[in-house]
Amino acid sequence: MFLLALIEAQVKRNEEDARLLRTIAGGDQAALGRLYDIYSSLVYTMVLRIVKSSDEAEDLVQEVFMQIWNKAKLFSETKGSVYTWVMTIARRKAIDRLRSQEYVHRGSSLDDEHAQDLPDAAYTTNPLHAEMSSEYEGLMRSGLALLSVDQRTVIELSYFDGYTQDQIAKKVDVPLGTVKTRMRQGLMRLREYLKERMK
Amino acid sequence: MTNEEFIQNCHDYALGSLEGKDLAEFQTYLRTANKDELTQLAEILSTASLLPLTLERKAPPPHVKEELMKKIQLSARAGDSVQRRTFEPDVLPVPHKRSWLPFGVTTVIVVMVIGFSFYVFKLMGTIEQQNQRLVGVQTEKQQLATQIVALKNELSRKEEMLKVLSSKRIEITVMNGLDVNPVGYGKIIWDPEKKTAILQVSNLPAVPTDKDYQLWVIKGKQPISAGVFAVSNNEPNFFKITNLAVTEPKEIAAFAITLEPKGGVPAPTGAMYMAGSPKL
Repeated sequence: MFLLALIEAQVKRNEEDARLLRTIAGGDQAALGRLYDIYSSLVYTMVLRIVKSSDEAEDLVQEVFMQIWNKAKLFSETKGSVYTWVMTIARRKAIDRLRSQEYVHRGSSLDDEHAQDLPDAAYTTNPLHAEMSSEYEGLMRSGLALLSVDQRTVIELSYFDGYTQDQIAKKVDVPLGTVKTRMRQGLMRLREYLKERMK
Repeated sequence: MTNEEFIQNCHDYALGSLEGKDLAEFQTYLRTANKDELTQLAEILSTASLLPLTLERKAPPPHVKEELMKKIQLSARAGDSVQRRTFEPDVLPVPHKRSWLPFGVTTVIVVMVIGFSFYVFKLMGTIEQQNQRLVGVQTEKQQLATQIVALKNELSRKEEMLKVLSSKRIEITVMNGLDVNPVGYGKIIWDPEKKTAILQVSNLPAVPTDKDYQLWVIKGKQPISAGVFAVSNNEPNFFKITNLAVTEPKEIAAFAITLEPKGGVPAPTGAMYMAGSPKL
């Protein structure tokens, strides 16, 4: 039962966040402050996990929200949730920063240009609000716990550390094909688990 | 790309580990992916986007927000936020609904224009071919008409010759080539009563455009013109002569052919090509 309530609340929050972004697009600084209050801790947590430097992470948080301020006008609620939009900006900036620090060319991360063509389902999640956050966190943690250590490791190395599959294969000393399989199986399992629990 | 490869790539894409050529190929494929494939990718992306929730949450220090808000304020004062919003393209997707109607209408119009142009081009080709055929047929018709006229003339001439040959009395005089053209030869067959004759010549050189051959009947020492003619080849040529001035063989000293100015002259002035006397 709590999941149904969770979904209803999620839809409502999506609409509220979208309205917030429209206000930001109109130049409302206070609205940006409110959005910052909602998202900053998760953005900071994620970028800190990626760049592993609090100074860099703080700088990145400011960059992310500056970009939101400048680009809010471009957001379209018909195609996605504010949550995914914000997190995608944050992850991309952090990975880019990480790669520029390492002077390693790994190609781009998630390609946002094409994300606009995805169906709405891509962005329906919006777990950041107080009434949902802890539930989602619980779901994800229990889902991750179902994965093997190997699967979890390759997913984390890829998503949070920005490693390519080749680099992961060398790092964990397994063939490239094994890395691909572990990543795929891990994410599939997580996906199935979430779908099952959301029914 | 097979469905299995697509699914594999979706996972790599969602985790940000797809790169280089593979990433480019995947992005290209996405442009034509079907709804099911996009839904699958959406679910995978959605799942991946929840991964940060597994991290232990930490809030940024308060000064981060303070500095951010100052920057925002400066940006707003500078009045460039709107401008940058307008001109900076490097952001997350600009999700918007694509209307395929203009594209579809444009495509249909372009296809119709191309199709119509092709049809017109083909039609013009067909018309040109028909015109050429028509010109060919008209030329052929003219050639046939000319041929018919020539054949009619030939028939008429032969009928006239047959008339002469079928006369009750005919006389024949053979003519031989002279020094100017020794290979030439000919004969004249005439009907003394009707004063008509047939002249046949062979191996006479073709006449220049400003000249004619002229036939003379020589009575005593007096040449009397019997008409002019021209030949264009060495083949045997036949000519009908009417109103022959002198018809009795005993009065005719000879027949002669000379080359004269176009239309003939009252008395011979040019070289004599052929001559012959009736046998009494």
